[in-house]
Amino acid sequence: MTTRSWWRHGESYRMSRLRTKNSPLYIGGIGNDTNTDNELSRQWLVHTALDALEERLASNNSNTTGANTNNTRTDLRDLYLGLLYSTDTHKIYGYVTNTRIKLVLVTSSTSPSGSNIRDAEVRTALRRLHALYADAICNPFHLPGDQITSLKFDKQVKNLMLNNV
Amino acid sequence: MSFTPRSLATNVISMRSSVSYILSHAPGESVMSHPDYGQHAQHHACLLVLVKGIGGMLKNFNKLWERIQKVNNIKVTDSSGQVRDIWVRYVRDYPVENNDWGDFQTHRRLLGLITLSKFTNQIELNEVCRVHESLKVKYTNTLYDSRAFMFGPISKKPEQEPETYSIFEDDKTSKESSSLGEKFSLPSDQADSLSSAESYPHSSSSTTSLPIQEENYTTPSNFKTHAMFYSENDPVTDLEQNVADLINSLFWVVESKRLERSREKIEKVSLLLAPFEKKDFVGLDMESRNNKKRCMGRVTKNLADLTLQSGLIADSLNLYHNAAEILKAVNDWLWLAAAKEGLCAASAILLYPNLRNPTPLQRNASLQESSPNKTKPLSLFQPNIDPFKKYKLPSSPLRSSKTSSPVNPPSELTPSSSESLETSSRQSETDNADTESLASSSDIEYQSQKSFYMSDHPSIPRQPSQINNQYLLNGEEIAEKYRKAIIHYSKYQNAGIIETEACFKAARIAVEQNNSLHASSFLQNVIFINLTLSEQEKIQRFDTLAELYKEIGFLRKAAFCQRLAATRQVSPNNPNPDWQRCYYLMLHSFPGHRLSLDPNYVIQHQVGWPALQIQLLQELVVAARRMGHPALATRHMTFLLQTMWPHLSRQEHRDLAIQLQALSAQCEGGPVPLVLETGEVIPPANLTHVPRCSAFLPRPPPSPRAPHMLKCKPQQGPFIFTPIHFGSLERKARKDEGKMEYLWVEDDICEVQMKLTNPLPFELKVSNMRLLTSGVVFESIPETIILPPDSPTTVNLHGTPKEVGELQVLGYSTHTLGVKSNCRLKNMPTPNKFLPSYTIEVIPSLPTITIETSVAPSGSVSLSSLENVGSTTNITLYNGESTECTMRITNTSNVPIEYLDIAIQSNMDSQLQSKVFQLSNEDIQAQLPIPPNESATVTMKLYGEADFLDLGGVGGENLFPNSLTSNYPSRVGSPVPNVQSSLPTQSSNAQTSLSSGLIPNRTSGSFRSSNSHTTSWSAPISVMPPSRGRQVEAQVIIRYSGGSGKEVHCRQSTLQINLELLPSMSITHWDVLPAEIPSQLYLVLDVTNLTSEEMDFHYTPSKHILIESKESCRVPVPLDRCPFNLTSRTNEESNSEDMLECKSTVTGSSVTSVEELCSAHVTEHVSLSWQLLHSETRGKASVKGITLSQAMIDIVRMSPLNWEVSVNKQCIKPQEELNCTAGECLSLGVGVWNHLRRPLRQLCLSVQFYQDYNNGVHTYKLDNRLATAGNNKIVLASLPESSKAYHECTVVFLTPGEYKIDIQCSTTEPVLEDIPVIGDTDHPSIIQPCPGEVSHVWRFIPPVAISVTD
Amino acid sequence: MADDILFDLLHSEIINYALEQSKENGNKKEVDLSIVEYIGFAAGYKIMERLTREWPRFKDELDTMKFICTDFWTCIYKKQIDNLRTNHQGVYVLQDNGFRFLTNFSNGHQYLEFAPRFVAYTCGLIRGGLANLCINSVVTAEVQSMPSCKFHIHVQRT
Repeated sequence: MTTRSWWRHGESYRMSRLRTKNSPLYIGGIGNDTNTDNELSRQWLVHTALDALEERLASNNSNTTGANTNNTRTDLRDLYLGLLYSTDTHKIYGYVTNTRIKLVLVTSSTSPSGSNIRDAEVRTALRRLHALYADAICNPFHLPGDQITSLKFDKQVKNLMLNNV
Repeated sequence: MSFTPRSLATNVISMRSSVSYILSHAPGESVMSHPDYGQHAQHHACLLVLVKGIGGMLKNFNKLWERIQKVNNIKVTDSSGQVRDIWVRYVRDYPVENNDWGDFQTHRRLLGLITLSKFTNQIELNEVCRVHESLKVKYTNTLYDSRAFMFGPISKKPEQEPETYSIFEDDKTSKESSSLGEKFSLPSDQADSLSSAESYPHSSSSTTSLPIQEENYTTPSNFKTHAMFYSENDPVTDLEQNVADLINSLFWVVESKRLERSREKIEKVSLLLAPFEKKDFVGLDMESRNNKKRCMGRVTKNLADLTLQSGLIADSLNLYHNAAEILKAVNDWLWLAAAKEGLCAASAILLYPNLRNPTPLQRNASLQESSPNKTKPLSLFQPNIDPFKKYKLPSSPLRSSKTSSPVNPPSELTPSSSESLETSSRQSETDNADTESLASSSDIEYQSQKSFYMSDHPSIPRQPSQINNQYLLNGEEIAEKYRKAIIHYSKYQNAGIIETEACFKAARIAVEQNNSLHASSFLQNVIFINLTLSEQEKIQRFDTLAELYKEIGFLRKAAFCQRLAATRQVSPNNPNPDWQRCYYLMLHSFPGHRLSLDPNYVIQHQVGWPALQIQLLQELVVAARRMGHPALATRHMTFLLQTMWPHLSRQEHRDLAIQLQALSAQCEGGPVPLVLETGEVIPPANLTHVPRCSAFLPRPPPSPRAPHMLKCKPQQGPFIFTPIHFGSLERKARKDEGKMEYLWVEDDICEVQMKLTNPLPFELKVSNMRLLTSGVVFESIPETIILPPDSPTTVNLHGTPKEVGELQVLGYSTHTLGVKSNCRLKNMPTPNKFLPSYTIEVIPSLPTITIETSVAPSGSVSLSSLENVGSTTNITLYNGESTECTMRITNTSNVPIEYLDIAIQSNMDSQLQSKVFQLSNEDIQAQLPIPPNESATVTMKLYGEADFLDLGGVGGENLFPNSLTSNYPSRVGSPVPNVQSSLPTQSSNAQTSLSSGLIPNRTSGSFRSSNSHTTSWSAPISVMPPSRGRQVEAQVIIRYSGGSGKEVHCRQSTLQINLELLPSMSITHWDVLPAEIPSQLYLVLDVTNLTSEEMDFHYTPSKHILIESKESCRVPVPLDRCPFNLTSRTNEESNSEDMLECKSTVTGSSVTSVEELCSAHVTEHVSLSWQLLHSETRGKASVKGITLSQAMIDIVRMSPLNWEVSVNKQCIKPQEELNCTAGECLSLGVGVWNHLRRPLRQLCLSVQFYQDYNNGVHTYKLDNRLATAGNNKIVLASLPESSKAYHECTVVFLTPGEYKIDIQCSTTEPVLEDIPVIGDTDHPSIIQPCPGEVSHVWRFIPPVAISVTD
Repeated sequence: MADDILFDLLHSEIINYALEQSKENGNKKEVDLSIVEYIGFAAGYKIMERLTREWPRFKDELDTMKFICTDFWTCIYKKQIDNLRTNHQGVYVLQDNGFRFLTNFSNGHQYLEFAPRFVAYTCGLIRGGLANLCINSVVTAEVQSMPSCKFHIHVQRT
């Protein structure tokens, strides 16, 4: 049985002034190892992934401005940033919305079918996730910048993951 | 051995080739097991020299070590006159295994050895020499040359001899030291001397035999090293020279090797092998074309390495390229990788020269400046510094701005690069110049030297730029090549360390390029390489990773690695766990976790990843504890609880709290910053969540203690702090920045109320709670409380201000879970917002009192100090009873009471109140001031003031038989306006009296029963009928002050007095009767005893009567009639008596005035007192407020006319029966005195006879029954004041019977307003005296009665 | 369309309500529209997530502004901004010649003094949207002759 867990991390802004908090808006996962230290280790993964993610953004911007860009990224303006990095156990994908919300997706690098998950797969998943998030923040009970506690959202995300496995 | 090209083209992220470990063999191969993380790409070009201290520790070893390190680059002019610039890398120790890779990458060979040793005697010297030799043996197969610096006690130099032994070395050194010019010429001639083959063995290998010195301290015979002897604290001025000398010789060896290699026959080269490859090639025929090429490739690569090391970077590029080509052809991945790496290294060296660590530069400069004399020996190496100087310039912009695109260096490498370099070199000249400016004048010619020197300097970079810049890689290519190389390495398990190092080198270059993504990807790759490393090496690996990640701004990654390193430090399979290091690593990973050491900062901006922060903090706590620094552990645990509180579950709260308790048991946490050995300061962490404070509010003093403004009226006193009012105050206070509107008093207990909640599931003990204040001195009283879980409890903190002025209450301090915290309001965690501080004004101290009240007879004492506020005194009084209440005011403070003011307020109207309560202000003031602990006594008189006249009170009617009442008017000859008003029937009389001037009175008193209607009108309304008890509630308000603040403020305490007035007796009815003496009258009272006891009722000084409980009896009270003078005197407003008179008849107003006079007269002359026999309570009573009808008034007042009626010359008294016989002639004399002070005019005196049938029927038709002689009616024109008129007539009664004589006298002036016509009377009026002019009638009452007998 | 007019009506009612409130709070004559502005801000902030979902990452500020002028505006007002001008120092002027909230009741100068109320919400909308796109700005509107309206966006560079 594969353990594929997805993580979502938000970087949000206070409404008054744009202060980045870099604290998770929502963390969810599926998979059969849900014991805490694993969870923690995965959070480490996501956390450290943020560096690469931010750097990716920065470099994109600098590249768009700067002269040479034989960067490996396909489309700099794509919200989907692709694989941020991978460890021997996990792959970490990144996706940053126009509103600088960061979606980070962690999958186990080995899936039972041996073949790794395809990039497109991840891309669509993250796009869906983004859509869900866009709905979630329209929830009047959600204060921008707070953790998302809506059960509906949670359920939707879980479904999304399951369907994408 | 083929792998999918996909993995070659694999993306940035994973450089792991999918085909892993081709050619990999079982472990246990000779694997280079000591990674060197510190390696840079440019080290490929360095000569490796080991510097070791042996023997006794040198005290100035480090200093020497630094000096040696500075000599890391010398220029040598080679045989072809070309200046090589040679770089050196010094290491303190070097695992010999790494030497094995020397063939693979020559820069891994340890070429030189320098030992710094200390000896004190021969034995030690021998030992030192032995060690040195053994070191030489250890690295024997790579070592080219070595130096031994020996520091011994001897000052004289036995080693002069060995110095002198080798001529060229000696004079070389001498020359070097002597003149620079020769120095630069020197390498050349030395070159040709050296280039001759026979000189190799001499300088290259240590087998060169040095002649043994036969001095004292002779080195052992087997010691064959160029050794230099110094005394312990010799400045060793020639250190640099000697080192340079060593390097020089090393260079020549390398150079020779290079030449040798380059001259080799390409056919018959042996196969170079990486250590682990040995087995792979056994049995392979070297003759196969493939392997030939392999050999060639490898050799070429090796040559390239040497070339690079010997300073011919450009050539090395070339060679590397070729090698790569060849090796690629034969799929020799490992060496291909090496070649590529070499290519990158060479390119990097050219592109990023400042990578050659510029650190020694500053030191050198400083050294120069510090001691000019040093510049002499240094001057030799001055040139070495230039490159740094030069490269520093381009370096600075590159490193400084992260945004600057990483491709600047390649642009320098375009053919114009040489110019750019030249310019930079020129710049270097200039700034050399200014560095030199502070050197001594001896350097001038050196200056010139330098200029010459500089001129050919650019030759180094020029070559690559001109010759083969096609092989020179630009930034991107370097990264790419490195990536490829690493991928190739990754195919060989045993090359793990090479790969790792390659990654680091690549990363460092990427950092130089400011290409963080590349850097990160390289670093990321390091993680994948699984090596069998010692814990220490793993830690180093993570350290290096962390540091590099930091450089590219990947703080989180860095933090992550630091944490891993930290955990390694103490991992179970670490032989010697180092908690200290672990702790610091974790501590320094704070920024990466977006944590700050300052809890307030963390709380204010909740940034970062709570779950991870919590994890980290917990580990940090453990580390701190194991490190043996409990204070830190406590501090961090507190920090964790405080900052992460919102992110923790209830269970975690509980657990952490318990842990904290355990920790603080070892060392208490306090609100003081902790300073670490490293100088870092851990700011205090205060627990504001445990307990949670939901409300914090300074309280005004309790009302008796509360200071009042002296000016404000006492009425307001008690109401100032009604809750509502206070609420509004509170709200206002919140608006204006916590400035409280009430005052606190110096030296007086003040209170702050707070609501605390214990969020933990177990009982929490908070001890030593105090207030944090600033401003005036404040003495806080520590509180200790036990908080049950989850139930908000209100806690009051107390303290006493010790000064006058402004006091700010900033917060509170707690001591719970073994942690002392200062919880400042401004740092309170949001949900509940607090003001940053509360400001309260403190006024000078005021006295305090206790009041002791005792009521005289009952002696009931009640003490009211400040504690039991508003103590009430209950007093019961019978109406008319009076008692005394003494208040004993004791000054309980140590401030004298200098102001005391007692006021009473009650629910009575004020003048009544003044009757009930009486106290004298004078004697109060007399007792001031009251010194501390003294007391003053104030007496207050209480009188059961009441109105004893019962108006229709209990059973007003039935107390009197109707008969009595009915004939009252007849007996009391009530004034009859005119004759016909005296009507046969009483009832009708009432009517007539109605029609008379009494109308207004009547109407006013209409509610009264007919019998004593006179009393009815104007009964005092304000007082309740005496038949009921009354409750009087009164407050005695005592305002007092003293001390320095007495002019402004005072205290006030109130004393409640509940006075119950019981009914004692009441006067239900009253009437007046004329007494025997005309000057007197009887006031007849119906007195009812309302008490439950027998009452002894005194109505005159002499007379008294016993009245049973609830009984009533009638008592006559003799009174003097109200004298006229009094009357006239008293009513000043009605100037003229007659006006009074005439008014009195008709208009009620003046009548009342007269009536007031009379009632006042009566009131003051009637003194009633009662005594309850059973309980000796005695009291007074009065008829205050008694009302008198017109008739009564006439009786009460002395009439203006005095009658003197005489029959047969003998005066008759009232109620006297006269007898005579029919036919007898009686002479009736009537004398009238006028007591008025003015004459009466038109006075009509009339005498009328009538018969009274005693059935209410009078007959006036007596014509045949009597005969009168003389006028029975005369009119006096005027009767002057106090004069007498006399009229006499005679009468003869013809028939016997009962006769009566009605003597009356009426005045007819002035003409009055119309009197209501008496039409209703059926009786014709007999007398029409001056009709319509009757104003007032006086009668002689009672009428004279005469009984006639036969 | 019915829903459009519904939006307009709701908008105007909200404004009336806000005015009432400010009256009750005893604000002297000057009308307090901050609440309306804030409503706009919140709405803009939230809707932006949705609108930019399918949109490639913005190259720069100007790109963002263009987005505001086109898609953003269309989604809300069923039309595009007619004219965008900028001084490349963070000041942008968006001109809408037929601003929807004004077209309803006036063209010309009638009610001109009341115009500000009807642009407050939109100002907030823009500000909120930009805020969510990490552009801190101050948005003011000016109406010279209705129904055209200019929105001035001053980007706050920190």
